[in-house]
Amino acid sequence: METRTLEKEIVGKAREWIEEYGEEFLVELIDAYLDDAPTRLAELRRAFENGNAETFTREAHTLKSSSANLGAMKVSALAKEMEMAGRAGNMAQMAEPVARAEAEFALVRAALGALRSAPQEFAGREP
Amino acid sequence: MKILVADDSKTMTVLLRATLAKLGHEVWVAADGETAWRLLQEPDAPKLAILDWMMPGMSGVEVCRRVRQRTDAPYVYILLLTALDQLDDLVEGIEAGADAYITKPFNLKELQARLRAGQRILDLQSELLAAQAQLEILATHDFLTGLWNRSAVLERLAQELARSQRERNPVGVILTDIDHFKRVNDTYGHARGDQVLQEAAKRMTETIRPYDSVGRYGGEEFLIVVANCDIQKTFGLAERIRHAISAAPMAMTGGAIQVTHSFGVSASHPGESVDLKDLIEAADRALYRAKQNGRNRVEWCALDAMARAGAEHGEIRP
Repeated sequence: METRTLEKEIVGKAREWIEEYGEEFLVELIDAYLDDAPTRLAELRRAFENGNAETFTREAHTLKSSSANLGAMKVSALAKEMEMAGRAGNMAQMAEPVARAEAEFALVRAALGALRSAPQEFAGREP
Repeated sequence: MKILVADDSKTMTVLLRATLAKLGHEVWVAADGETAWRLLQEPDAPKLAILDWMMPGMSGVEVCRRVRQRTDAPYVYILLLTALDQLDDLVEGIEAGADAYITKPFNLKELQARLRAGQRILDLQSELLAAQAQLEILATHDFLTGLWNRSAVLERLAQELARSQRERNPVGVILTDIDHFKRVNDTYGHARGDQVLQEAAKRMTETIRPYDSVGRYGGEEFLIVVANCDIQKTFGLAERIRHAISAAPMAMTGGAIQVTHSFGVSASHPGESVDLKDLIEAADRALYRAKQNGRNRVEWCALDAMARAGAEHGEIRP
């Protein structure tokens, strides 16, 4: 995964939010997501390890839409894959996607952290 | 309008709250289904709710089901939040009572359109409730005087008798009519006669207590149900009403008119079952005597006296 694509998607989405609701809102949204997503990922891993498909599916579902809202499209796509697998009873094969989502989220967190500290600079930059 | 948003994803509630606030709505936020259900039961709860389908614990569909099971609460318009690839499950949501759904990530124009549709339904609902309340008033009140109508005041009396029997309290009744009302109509015309009826209704209503009921029983005849009063206390209230009616002439367009009422009073005995008709007949008998004894006065007739008179003479009113 090239960091450049990730940044492009996140900055693109951030610019939409700033245009619509302003910078203050963007910061609030990033904070909510950075508070939310780690919990989701931890719950996902625990559900995976305990074989709890229902919780796994639900957590993946939530992570899918909240990540999409922040432009974290890779995390969102992985979450969608996990949700579908959970629904279809194939959760056991999701070890790799779970790990990839965690790794991908680490990059997202770094990008969002930078964006949060200087939203104006990011929003103004050409992608 | 007030809108409840329930989603276990903080990102989603932050986003929805900002969007709805920007559209001018007051947003209530719940982080799970249980909180949503609790908030919806509050007295001034929002009548439009946006519920996430999938929440841990109580799901949006379950909240929906519970809201629809209520029969004594106003209608809540429910939008279910769902993912685009979950559309197959929507049948379950609609069958649980959801009005519509919004897919995540939501589109602002679609959300606005859904909210407008919801507002339309809620407006229709409140118009319907207002019309129902208006009908209820029309069905139970006398149009001219605004007092209870005959059937409604009899219903109040029946209720009061049932309650007082349980609680071992007496109930008083006053039957009263306007003296020489035909003369008022003949002398001043029916329009002024109507005004006299209205003014009499006003003076009676102002004199009774809030928990008493006064109804238009016939043309110029009124029935007053006096809660928790024996025959003496009821007599006292009738005297106060008599004074309120006769003390000052009724001022109205075209000159003041002096009016008096006659009153017949009776009451039930605490804890004894009594037939509503017997009570009214006793008051009617007393009213007849008030007329015979010169009008503008109160007479009373106890239930047992009436029973004796009925047995002796075979009739109540000659």
